[in-house]
Amino acid sequence: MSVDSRRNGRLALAFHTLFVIFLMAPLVVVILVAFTPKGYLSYPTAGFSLRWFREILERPDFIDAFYHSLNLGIVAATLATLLSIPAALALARFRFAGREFLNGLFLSPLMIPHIVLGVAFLRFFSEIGIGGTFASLVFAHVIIVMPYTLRLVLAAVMGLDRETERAAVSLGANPLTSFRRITLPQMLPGVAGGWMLAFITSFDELTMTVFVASPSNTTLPVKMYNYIEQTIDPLLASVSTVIIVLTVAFMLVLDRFYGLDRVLSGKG
Amino acid sequence: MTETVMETTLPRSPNRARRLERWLPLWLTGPAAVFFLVLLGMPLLMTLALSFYTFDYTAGIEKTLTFTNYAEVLFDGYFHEIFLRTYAISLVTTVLCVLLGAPEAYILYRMRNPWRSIFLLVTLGPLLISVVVRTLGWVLLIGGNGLLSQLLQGLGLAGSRGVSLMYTHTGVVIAMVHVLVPFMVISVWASLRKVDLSTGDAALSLGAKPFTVMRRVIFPQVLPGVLSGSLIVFALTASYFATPSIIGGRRLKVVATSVYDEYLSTMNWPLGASISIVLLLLNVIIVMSYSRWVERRFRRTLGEG
Amino acid sequence: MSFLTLDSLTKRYGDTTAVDALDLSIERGEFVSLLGPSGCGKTTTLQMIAGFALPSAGRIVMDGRDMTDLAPNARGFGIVFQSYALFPHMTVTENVGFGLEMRKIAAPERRRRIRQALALVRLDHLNDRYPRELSGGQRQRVALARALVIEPPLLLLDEPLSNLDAKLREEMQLELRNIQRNVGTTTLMVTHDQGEALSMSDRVVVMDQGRAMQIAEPFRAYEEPADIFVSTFVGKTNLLEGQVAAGDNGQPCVDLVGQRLDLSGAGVVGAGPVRVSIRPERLEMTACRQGLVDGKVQTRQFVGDHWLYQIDTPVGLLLATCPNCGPAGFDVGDEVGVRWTPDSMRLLQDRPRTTLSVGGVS
Repeated sequence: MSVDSRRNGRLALAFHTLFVIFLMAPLVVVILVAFTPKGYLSYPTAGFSLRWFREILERPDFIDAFYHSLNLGIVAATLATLLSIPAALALARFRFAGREFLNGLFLSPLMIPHIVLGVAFLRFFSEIGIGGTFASLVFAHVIIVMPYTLRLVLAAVMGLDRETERAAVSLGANPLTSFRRITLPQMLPGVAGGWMLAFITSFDELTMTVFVASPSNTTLPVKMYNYIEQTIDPLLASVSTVIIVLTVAFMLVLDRFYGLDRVLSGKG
Repeated sequence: MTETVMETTLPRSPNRARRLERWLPLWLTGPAAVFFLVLLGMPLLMTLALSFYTFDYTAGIEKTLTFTNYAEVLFDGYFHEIFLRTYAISLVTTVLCVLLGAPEAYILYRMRNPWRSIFLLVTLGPLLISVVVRTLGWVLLIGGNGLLSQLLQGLGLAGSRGVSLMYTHTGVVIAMVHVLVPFMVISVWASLRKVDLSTGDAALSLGAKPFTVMRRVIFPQVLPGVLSGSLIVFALTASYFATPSIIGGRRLKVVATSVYDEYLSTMNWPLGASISIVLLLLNVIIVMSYSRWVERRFRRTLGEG
Repeated sequence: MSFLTLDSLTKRYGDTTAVDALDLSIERGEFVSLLGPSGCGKTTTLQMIAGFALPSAGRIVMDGRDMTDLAPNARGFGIVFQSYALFPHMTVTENVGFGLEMRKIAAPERRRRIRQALALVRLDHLNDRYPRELSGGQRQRVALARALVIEPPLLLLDEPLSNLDAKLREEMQLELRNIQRNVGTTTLMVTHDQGEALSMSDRVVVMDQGRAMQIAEPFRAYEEPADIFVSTFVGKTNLLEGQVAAGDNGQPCVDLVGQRLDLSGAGVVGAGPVRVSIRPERLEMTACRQGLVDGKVQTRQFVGDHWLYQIDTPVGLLLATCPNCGPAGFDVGDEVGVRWTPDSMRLLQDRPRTTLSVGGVS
């Protein structure tokens, strides 16, 4: 009898198969429906058609929303990263009054339901008169993605061998040169991982954005949600398919670059 | 050690060094701190204030102090039902996520590369795919003429009208589990990575059967991961919006969707604000007391580090 | 006039004193080791010399120049860190060239000196590798080349060999010392490994609790330990209790089971118990009743080039070594005699560890 605690038995593999089917089924169904030649929700039993993908090109509102999401994700992730780098350095390397408070403050958006953030931003932005603008979307998104960038940048700073900085200084580098040439390059994987996680979080965000978006400044998830509220047709499936393909490509890059499990341990 | 650490990058003069050490962290955290205090602190405070204002369909929002909104949220049976439903869905979803996610993480952990990396990607990948897209998939699966219905009809288990799980608790829970189970997997996975698998071999060598090894040796060691994963899943489900809104619709209101309706259909912002404040407080209380309980219960055996 | 002088160098962290008024003079070209257990202050001393820690008191003077308050990047010392601290994102060439780049040395000259430094550590074939593609020994050499290429007046080695396995460590000890001799750079090494310190250094500074217990050549530190701490930390020893008595000529001496050590020069007055150290290799095992004391072999260990015996005797458990010249002469349980010569006995004083003074012999 060979007992090996490190191998999966037949039962375990059956469980695993069902689990993967459960996870993949809705995505597969969406992709299948996107290729239907019919004018209503149906499976492409009678042959594949690209008509619903062509339909996307006829819908500038969806295309605009996509570009808004893209811009928003890039700007918000970049801003959050730029705020996170100095903050992470201070939090990791100094003991100062208010350190715990600031750490809690920067991570608090993880604890606050997005629906609450949504209504709070709605009130705030309309009171100060920037409701529905692109800037207000950026502000709101920086708040919700910064915990992710901060965590990954913080992990990068903590994982750094401080002796390399001392080595640089001993070789004649001044503090600024040492930071630029030694510290920053070593932090880069964490910074890039944080940026990418922030971008994808911003790109996917719905709950909060529903409240702060306006018809002229809407994001793709909000656009799709509002569309679903009215009707569900194969156009949604083809748009979703495009999103799935892009996300999977993005995910592969992220995994290659930083390791998906490492990135996502920081999520939630 | 911090003293020596800081001296590395700072100028020599002790006084200047000390001054810099005091002010540098403030300059470094300053931008983010101001950003958060203004753009997170202010909105939350304004919403707190808003929750005490009155609302009238003709006069709109009036800045008077009243507790009627909270009285309505806390004592009206309509809201009781919504809160109860929300937390019931959260509880069931959490339990299902543990039952599905924890074993799956263990199975993944015992796989070898390349399968391990491939299936880790398959399991965690959906987290990055838009929730709207994933929920849409479930609508197509469990809706009136969805695949599930057709499958059951084909098997003769359903009548010609088919079976729809739309607007049912079952439908909402299935979709929520799908959306959140990756969080459980990643959480358990993270603690599995800290487990020394040779403890399992040690148990085997002492005569334990494989199932006993998992139950008595491995599971207790990953319990912290299960517990923190549960907290994440529970807290997220309790305030989730997209999935309950699309699958539950107006018929199965949860807290998040009722806030949405108060704000964007009824336009009763003060009432919506008080619902969200109550939701926020409940979430904070649950997270805090749960963390404290876990901390007290497991500090000695399974503390971090 | 010595090259590097530490003048009552002191470092305090709050209430604890990590380094307590350390005085040390190092000559040009000398190889000196700071030896001691962890927490003895040797690393803090190195950090103060490197400029990474500010002394609480005292001065560091090099070549007549006060370095105490100089910024670490202005000192120009070469440092080999315990973790090597190679820049992971730079190739071997870039790592070694970094210090030259900081000194704004023109590219052709830089290339020449990098090549020279890498040849010195015999790594000229690995220019374009990244640190993670190198073995431990290779990383160590890169770290050394990086520190030496800037032609520092002083080379600081912080436990440079502690991350290598035993065999490689011995090789590197020889090689490191050879390179240091060839280049002639004054070197200060921190180590907790007494074998390493003894075999590599011109002089060792044995430290304990922030103080230098003995500064001496390796042979002297081993043969004439200044106190009990040094005798037990540097090598193995037998510590025996003896009585001060009056000798034949009226001079004080220590009597250990009939073997007397003359104390006339030691300045000991009066009578009372003292401690005497005898190195294990100085004990000679004989047949029963032919030595100074009889005992029973309790354990026997084979250590390759010698046998190690533990012998239970009336004066205590004695540790004795015999060179391995064929099979062991004695077995566990054998009754044996042990003897030694007077000149192998060293009188030791247990220095006061705290400021509390220990009462003298009354």
